Amino acid sequence: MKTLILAVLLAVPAPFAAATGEGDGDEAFPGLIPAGGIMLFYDSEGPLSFVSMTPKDVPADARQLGTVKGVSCQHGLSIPIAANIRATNVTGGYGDGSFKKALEQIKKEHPDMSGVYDVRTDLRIFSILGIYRKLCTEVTARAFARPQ
Amino acid sequence: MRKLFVFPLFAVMLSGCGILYTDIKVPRGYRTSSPSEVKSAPDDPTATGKACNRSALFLVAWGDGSYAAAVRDALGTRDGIMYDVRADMKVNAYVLGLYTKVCTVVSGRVAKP
Repeated sequence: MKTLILAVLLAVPAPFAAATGEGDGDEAFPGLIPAGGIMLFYDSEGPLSFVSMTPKDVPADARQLGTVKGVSCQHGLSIPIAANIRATNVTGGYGDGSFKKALEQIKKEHPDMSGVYDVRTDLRIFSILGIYRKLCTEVTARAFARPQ
Repeated sequence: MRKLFVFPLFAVMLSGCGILYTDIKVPRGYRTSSPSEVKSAPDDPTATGKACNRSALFLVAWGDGSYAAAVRDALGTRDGIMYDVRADMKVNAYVLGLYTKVCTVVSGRVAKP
């Protein structure tokens, strides 16, 4: 029982990166790359909330641009300072995984874009040995442009 | 000594990631439309799509369980917008979780864009 409780406590930080979705309520959960232990450096930006448009909000004179996709990423390093399972890690995080950056990337690919709707946001989690981690925000949406 | 292995094993099992390698996509947010927000019609078809992440032996985790993949699966070759969407999560775990499949399932109706 004690082992199970300790394991649950250990797992608590993991879902922080793994499945922090936007709930139905008013609460917003940041999707920041986790950093524990001895944090040497942290300069990261992550998604918080995005109240996106639905087809009803699209202006009548809009021109459809089809499905678009934008990705923005945060990176993290976590290096154990001893060959022990309970050893403290030296950690660091950097990058811009914000909605803003992902939308800027879409805008760069479609300069005439005015807005997006029917937005799906997902997180991509990439990790090797838990030492290097990458957390990307992926925005998939339909885009539209308005006449100049 | 045994506990040293049990702790991380449980931790990994509960988080759905692999110790050695992880490359998964998890759903975060999807503000779906209601029937009044799209060009809905009574004969709009119903569609269901599924997207999954998998993990084996708690060591590796892979897959694409994103909303984008689930909606892509639901729409298939159709060009449409899903509305009245229900999103669910389906988990299959076998042999004490040595093989785990976590799927995002979206079901709803498809309107013309």
